[in-house]
Amino acid sequence: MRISRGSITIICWMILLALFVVTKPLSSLAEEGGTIKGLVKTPWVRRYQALVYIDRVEGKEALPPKENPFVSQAGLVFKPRILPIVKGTTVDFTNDDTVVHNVFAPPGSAKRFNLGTYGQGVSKAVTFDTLGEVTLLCNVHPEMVGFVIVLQNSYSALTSDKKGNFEIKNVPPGKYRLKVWHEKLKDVYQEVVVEAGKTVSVEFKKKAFKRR
Amino acid sequence: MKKLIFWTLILSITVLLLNLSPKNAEAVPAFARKYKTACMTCHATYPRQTALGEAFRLNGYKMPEGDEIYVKDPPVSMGAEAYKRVWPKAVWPSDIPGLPPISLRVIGDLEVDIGDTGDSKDNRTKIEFPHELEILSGGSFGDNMSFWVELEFEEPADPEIAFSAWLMWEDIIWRNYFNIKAGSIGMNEIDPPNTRDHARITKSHYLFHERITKGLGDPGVEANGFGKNWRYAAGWVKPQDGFADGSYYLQAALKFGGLGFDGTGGTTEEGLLETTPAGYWRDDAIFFGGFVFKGDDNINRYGVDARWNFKDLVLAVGYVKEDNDIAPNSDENVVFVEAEYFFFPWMQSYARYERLDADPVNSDLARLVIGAALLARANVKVNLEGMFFTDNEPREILGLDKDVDNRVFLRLDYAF
Repeated sequence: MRISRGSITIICWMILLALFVVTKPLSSLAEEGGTIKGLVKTPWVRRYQALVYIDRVEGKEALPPKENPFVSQAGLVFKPRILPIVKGTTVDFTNDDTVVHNVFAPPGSAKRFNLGTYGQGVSKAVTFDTLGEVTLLCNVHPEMVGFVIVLQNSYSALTSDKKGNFEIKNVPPGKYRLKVWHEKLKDVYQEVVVEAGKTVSVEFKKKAFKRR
Repeated sequence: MKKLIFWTLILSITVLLLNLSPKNAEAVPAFARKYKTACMTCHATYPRQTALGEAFRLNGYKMPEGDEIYVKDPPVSMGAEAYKRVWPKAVWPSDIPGLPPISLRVIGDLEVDIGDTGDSKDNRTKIEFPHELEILSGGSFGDNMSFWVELEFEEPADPEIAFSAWLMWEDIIWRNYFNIKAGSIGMNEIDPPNTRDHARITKSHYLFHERITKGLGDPGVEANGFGKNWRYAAGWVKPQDGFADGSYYLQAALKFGGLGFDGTGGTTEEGLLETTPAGYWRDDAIFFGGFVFKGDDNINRYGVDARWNFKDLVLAVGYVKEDNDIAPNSDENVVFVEAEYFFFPWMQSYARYERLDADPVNSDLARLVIGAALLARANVKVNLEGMFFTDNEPREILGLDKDVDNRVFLRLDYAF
């Protein structure tokens, strides 16, 4: 039986189309991450945000951003109060007030520094090359406080509301240790397994938290 | 002229303080303002505290288990907490109250003598309004320091002014176990610990306070502490004037059941302090307590008490004694029993029987105080109360004046 050229063409296109339909989702699955969604159940989040982050992602050492994030001193407060960054990031500290300010990190911080006092409009930079918490203080205005949290990777999120909800997107599939940092509480963690294209729910219960 | 100056001063202070209050403030005392919470969070028919209120008071006027979570009027920071790591190269951080933490309490009395004095009806009624004006201030300076200031003006016909203030440094050794207080120690405190006169709901003072413990409030230093089921206070006080020797006292109490003195035992799963749905005043527990006061005036005081809270009922019993080493024949002792019952959240009735055995002879007193405390509003209280003597030797035998006689009271008491 002879098959016409036109029929062969149609059959080839149908095969190609079938292959495309089948393989496209597979390739998407290979690139797409999962989502970690949950709740930090401590009344302290009503007062101060918590930072939820993946402690370590193997083979995924994040690179610092091309543009420096900044911490502004405006209205006699550090803004943002909490800045999560990846190791090696340089942060600009800008004085946006009309009074002089200072930025220094007290003992116990992952990185110690003191930028001295500087006036309105001046910006000074610090590169954070050690993992951990860096507390920011101003020796001109003792009530001011801020935090830079230096992380191994970029998979982190601050609680988004006073109930303690958080969401971390595009997390590569795998098993991880998920940690909670809070300025008033000791760190807590849970093991979590992330699957591609799926959302895993996590809840950190109040009983797990202890005051610093 | 003196009266005019006095009342001008009082009214000026009142107007000044009112103008310092937020324009939209409800009439609530300073702590209610700080936490934006009703009086009943801490008081069961004020000034009597609820279990949470007692834990709040012992904890230096801070909510136990995380005060910062509950504060709605943010304090003014005197340094971020991280400055503790900078010390001694910086001042230890703390904070001061945001709004001026000032409360006022006004008390007025109508008194009717119903005894058989034989006087005409016009002489049986007395009105004092105000009978008493209190200016109160209290709060905390950060995590472990608290303060109290109290100014009382009483009976305007002959103003009696009482002033007390103290500062307390807390958590010196382990949390809550050892605190130091300096200032007017003991005023309103050196009583049987579970039936303190300052926390009574009746109009009438406890007889033991009138006759034995009133006035034990000289300046001094006190060490105190508490755990879940126990608390203690030990202090040294000295008269404000003169170079007399000091007096020593020790007070202790135990509690079984209910919310702990340290505020533990009443936490919900979400970490919030639990309030009983049945009634904010409920705290089923049994208390035992006592005190010893060794006076520099060779007059020693002792007392023990017990209290049982069971749902809407409170029963208490106590004994207070005074030993006069100089004049052994002038010893006094008081025994009392009392019962209180919540019929409604706004209505608590009470009955208290007290007996004073005194030397010299013909000085014994026994009386029944019976009445009800009614909350017209959370911060407005009315006491309807009667005082009936079942034994009144000073009047009956010694012919003392008719002030010691059966009477009925109507008290109006409001605070803001």
